[in-house]
Amino acid sequence: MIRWIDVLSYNNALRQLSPMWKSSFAALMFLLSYTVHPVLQAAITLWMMSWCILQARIPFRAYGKLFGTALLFYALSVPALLVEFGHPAAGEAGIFPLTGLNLPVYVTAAGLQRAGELLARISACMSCFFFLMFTTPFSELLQVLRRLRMPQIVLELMLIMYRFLFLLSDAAHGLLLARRLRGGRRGYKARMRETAAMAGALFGNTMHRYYGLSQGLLARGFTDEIILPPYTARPVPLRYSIQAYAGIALLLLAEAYFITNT
Amino acid sequence: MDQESSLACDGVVFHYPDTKEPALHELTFSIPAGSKTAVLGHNGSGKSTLFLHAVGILRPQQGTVMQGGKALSYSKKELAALRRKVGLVFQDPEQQLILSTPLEDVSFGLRGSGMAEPAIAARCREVMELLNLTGLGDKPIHQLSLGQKKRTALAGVLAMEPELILLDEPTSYLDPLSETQMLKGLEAIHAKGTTVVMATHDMDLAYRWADWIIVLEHGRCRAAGTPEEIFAGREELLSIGLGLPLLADLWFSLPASLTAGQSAPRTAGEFKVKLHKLLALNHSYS
Repeated sequence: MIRWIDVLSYNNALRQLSPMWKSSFAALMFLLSYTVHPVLQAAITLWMMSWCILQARIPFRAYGKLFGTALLFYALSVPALLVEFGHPAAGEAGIFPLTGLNLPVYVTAAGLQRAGELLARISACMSCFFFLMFTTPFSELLQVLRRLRMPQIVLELMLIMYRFLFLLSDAAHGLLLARRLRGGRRGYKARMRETAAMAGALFGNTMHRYYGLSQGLLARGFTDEIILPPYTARPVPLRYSIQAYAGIALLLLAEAYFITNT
Repeated sequence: MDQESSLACDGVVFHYPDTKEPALHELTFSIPAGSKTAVLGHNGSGKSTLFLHAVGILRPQQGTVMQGGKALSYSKKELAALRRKVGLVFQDPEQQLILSTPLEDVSFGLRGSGMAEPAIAARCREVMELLNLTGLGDKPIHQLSLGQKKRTALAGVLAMEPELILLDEPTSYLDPLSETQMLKGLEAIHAKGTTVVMATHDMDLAYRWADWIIVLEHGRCRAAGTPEEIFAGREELLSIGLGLPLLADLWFSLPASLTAGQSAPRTAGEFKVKLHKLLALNHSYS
């Protein structure tokens, strides 16, 4: 999945758009996602989705898969948000009472509303992140962060982690493939033992790669810092600017309407 | 070769911790400046360790490593200067590709040396063209093929315009096309006067490419000389299990009475010409 996202971030229709503009747009929409009415949060989700799927031409399957995976975490927390044990307090009308059990279990309207609001907010915030993730390559994000005066050490760590992510995924894939080709082992215990051995081998591999990369850095004249390429500003086509500003203005107007009418 | 040496070792000894045998054992040799040198040897013969010494990553426990006739000094400033003059291309390109795209990675060393951005862009374009990497500059490193990664790693070193380039098994795992592209790039670099040193197991490649050969065995220099000199001593090569290049093997398999006094051909074309001459001579006698 990581590799897929990375490939898409380098090959999408919004790739040539200024990374700073995309980051600012995503950040602003993220802030709005936190503050506006849940109905508008749902609208933001759909709008940001349309930026990714229709404008950037990110395949719906990739987007849906990532969105669904992220929502799984929400789904896991839903029972904790919804389900109450015991008897509803006065005025707290329980709906969907599950009376078959000894301990009364119920779901309240307030719980449902809370879960719904949370879903709207999570979806909106995630769609803003996904916009940035799918349309901006990591190297450009680093340039943006550098321009925003992120400490050099943090940028270097992020860069090395990014490189290692793929190296490790390759190593893990190789180990897994080798295990499969040898037929693997049967039985739960044997499989667990083998998984542990694989984790050990992966750790060894990581250390080997780390040692190699340090030598590589030294050989290439690394002294104290990895100097990243400077940020290069790119123009933003007018149609994207108009769409973005018009959308934000509409959202703000709608929010003002919701505030005055509630 | 009576020339100034680009890289030389004098009695270099190096032991890795927790190993019985030294990786380099009183290693003494010299590589002529401006040469195309192949370092031959089995796995574990000390080729990679030697290269790590040449860029000052490892320090000999005894003996001296010299670059350009001067013994290496291990101060931070001297090492930085050395690594601008001596470029090392590792066998595994993942070991030296640091940034996320080829263009960024090739410019890594240049940016570190304080070069101006327009000059960096021009130099990167030049080396990427030379190594047939144009059009890949903006692609993430992990999406490149092994051949492209190897050429990117070489481009990063070439961009620094070093006096000496060390390549650890540059053609291993490469398909013939990638190997040809890599060798073409190396030829162009050598033509500019750079000394190119390649560690390899590929006897055929060493035979047709190099003009100076060093044979390492158990961390010692077993032989050094021109390809003709090295491959003429075929019993010695066979005794250390390195074998002979196919062309030399074919040549030496001809009756000694025919090939006496002639050096073995270095290329298939040369072999063909020599064989034609021999056959014509033989025919006229009979």
